[in-house]
Amino acid sequence: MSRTTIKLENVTLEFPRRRVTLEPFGRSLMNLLRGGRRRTKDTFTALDQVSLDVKEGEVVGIIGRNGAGKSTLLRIIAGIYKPDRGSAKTLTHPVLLAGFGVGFNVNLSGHENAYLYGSILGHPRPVIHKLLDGIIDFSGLEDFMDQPLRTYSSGMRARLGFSVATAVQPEILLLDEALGVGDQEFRKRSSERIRSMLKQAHTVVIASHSFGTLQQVCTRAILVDKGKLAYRGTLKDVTAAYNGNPPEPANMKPPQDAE
Amino acid sequence: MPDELHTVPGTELTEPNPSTSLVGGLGKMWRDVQRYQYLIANFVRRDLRVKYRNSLLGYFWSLLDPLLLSGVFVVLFTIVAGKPQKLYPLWVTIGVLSWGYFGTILQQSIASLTGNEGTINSIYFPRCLFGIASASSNLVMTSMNLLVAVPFMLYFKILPTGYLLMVPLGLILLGMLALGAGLALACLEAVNRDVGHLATIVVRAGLYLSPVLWTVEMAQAKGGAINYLLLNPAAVPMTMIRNGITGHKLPISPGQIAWSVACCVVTFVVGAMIFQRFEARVIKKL
Repeated sequence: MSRTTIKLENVTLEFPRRRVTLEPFGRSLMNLLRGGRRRTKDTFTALDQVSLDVKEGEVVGIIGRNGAGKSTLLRIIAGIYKPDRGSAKTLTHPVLLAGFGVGFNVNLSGHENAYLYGSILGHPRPVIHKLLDGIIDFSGLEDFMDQPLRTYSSGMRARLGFSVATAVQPEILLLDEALGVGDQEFRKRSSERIRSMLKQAHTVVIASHSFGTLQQVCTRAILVDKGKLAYRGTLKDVTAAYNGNPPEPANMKPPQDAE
Repeated sequence: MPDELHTVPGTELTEPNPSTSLVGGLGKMWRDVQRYQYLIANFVRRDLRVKYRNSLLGYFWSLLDPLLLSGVFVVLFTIVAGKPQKLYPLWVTIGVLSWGYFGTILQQSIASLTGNEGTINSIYFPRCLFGIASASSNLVMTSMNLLVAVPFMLYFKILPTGYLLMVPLGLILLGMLALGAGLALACLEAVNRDVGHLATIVVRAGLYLSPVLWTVEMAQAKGGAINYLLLNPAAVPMTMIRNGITGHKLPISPGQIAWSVACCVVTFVVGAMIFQRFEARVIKKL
């Protein structure tokens, strides 16, 4: 009996529709104090009553159109957003891989950025220190590590970011469309590393449009549509549902009753 | 050293970003600071490296700006009010540095959510660390900048006294006041960007309403309505820093000191509580 590592219960998340509120300052303040839970025309429901249980050993693919809520769902699991209603819990602190090199400073050297980015990812200095040789090796940037980052090309920055971000094997891995970066050679090596991380991670949730990749790694899949969990099942069924012809519409389980 | 955060499985399901009550926020902030010491240290290291990128020269440039401003103020004072006391240039320099310290922490912590949108949207760690880290960086930098008083002290033959202990105390109180106000306002800034602009004006006005160009002793000598300026909670810590360096005791009544210290501590506690309570729900408004 494997343990549940990610548990979402009726997660609802609403975004304000306008980035800059033109309403009077007092009203936006009152709305904030009320917890922003007022349901008005001004909000956009990014996730609507999403429940999901992921167990140890599962690799779950998230499929859905642009803007359906895939990345938002991953951010909820990672703790970046807090659900307005419902709850999101995990067994370990998850690692979300989406865009490498967050918090890089162009005036610092490659070394310094490796430590800085590592600590932003949650790894204390001694941990990065121990992993540094491996990071430099994998990035292939040993001749540039003492140079400030502003002298790096964007590909080199991505390589350094990727090498740091993937240096520690997490228990719970969340992937957002990030299967390879850099030039052809590095892209190949980085996809290989992601694949091996997928194998070793105890739990994986992966959002992607690349059905080929999902096919190789996923044990099951879910379809997110307009913020709702529209379908769950094997990747094949979910892909069919995505394309508009779910295999057995009559038997489709309402998401809340699954599991 | 194992990297426990992501690799050691917990025993029960927990929220990565747990809610806190208004009162529990302060305790959570304390635990966050302890748990993420390495991150704060790395942020401070980054700020210092970037600031003093060109080694020694970088440090001197960071002194030149407050010194020039002080020079202008001394000249203006001489034109308007006649020849100042001989220590006046030192008083103004310390005043400019300590008010700059207050203003920078206030503005950086107000921008701590809106300015770190990219990081916040990619990785979760307690967001109070941004403000705490910039306050720590500024504490280190201002302490280093206050060394500019040493040549003055040599020139005026001022010997260090026990009052020197008031300097760190004043810096910490002033930092608490700025960080507390900044953390509370950071949540509002995420909703409504007017807050940051307003803070710029407050910092500008405070340059004249706080003891930068004038000293508490001067205000007391003048008497009358000007004494209300001493209600400004920044006045006491700024005078602590100034008189700590020149080796004079605080010319302020115990009641006023208590008022100011209470303001700084309460602002910090309330600001931290407000930030911890509202931070999670304003993130999606970034």
